[in-house]
Amino acid sequence: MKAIYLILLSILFVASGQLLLKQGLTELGTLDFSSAHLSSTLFLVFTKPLVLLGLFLFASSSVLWLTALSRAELSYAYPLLSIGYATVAITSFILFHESPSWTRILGIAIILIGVSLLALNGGKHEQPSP
Amino acid sequence: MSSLLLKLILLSDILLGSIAQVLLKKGMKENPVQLSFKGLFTTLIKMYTNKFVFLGSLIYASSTIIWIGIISKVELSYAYPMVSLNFVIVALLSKIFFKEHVTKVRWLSIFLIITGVVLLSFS
Repeated sequence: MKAIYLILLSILFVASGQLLLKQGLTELGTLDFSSAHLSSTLFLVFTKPLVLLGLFLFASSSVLWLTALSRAELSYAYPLLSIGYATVAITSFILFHESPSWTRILGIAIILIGVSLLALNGGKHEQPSP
Repeated sequence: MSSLLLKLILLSDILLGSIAQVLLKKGMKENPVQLSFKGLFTTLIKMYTNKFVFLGSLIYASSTIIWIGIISKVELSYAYPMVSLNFVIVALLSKIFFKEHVTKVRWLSIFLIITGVVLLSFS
């Protein structure tokens, strides 16, 4: 698989992992982390399927990222992670009905222009697959 | 905690995150892998037993924990744009350690991305 697809998939996994964790923890409500209740709270958190799925997605995304690093230049791959900022911002506008300010829309647009410029000019520096 | 000390911790944490990426890259460069469902377990063992990948992951995890401590004390809209300094530091370190050719277009992309992240942090 080409590095760019591994990177995009890795970002997708992180972003959805984040949303699943958020949803899982929201469903659990107020959590008591005082020492008297710590172990039962941790048990509650780590037996919640949405939380476990979120953590699994994080782990998978790091494997994808490492695989991407074994073939793409770091100065090419790393800035592409900023797609995550734009994705999370856009997703929260949609899911949480936040109304985006013009500054934020401009910010997202500029990030995406930078990312496209990088991605479109990065291919020739990619190292061959092992 | 004094605000100067907090700033220093924030900057050190950003640097730690960049160093972690360089270590991960170093490990994966000398030990490239192909992902497939068949033999996935062997691949994972091969990845994470590499000393650079192991150390890089450890440093990355530490920097994340420090980050959580930082944002409990600093406004996120201040801390977040600072993290985009990572893009510049990682590019410089890639140039130094891996002799990567960071083209003008690549620097321009990094500049645009940082501008975007700063704008995004304004509410």
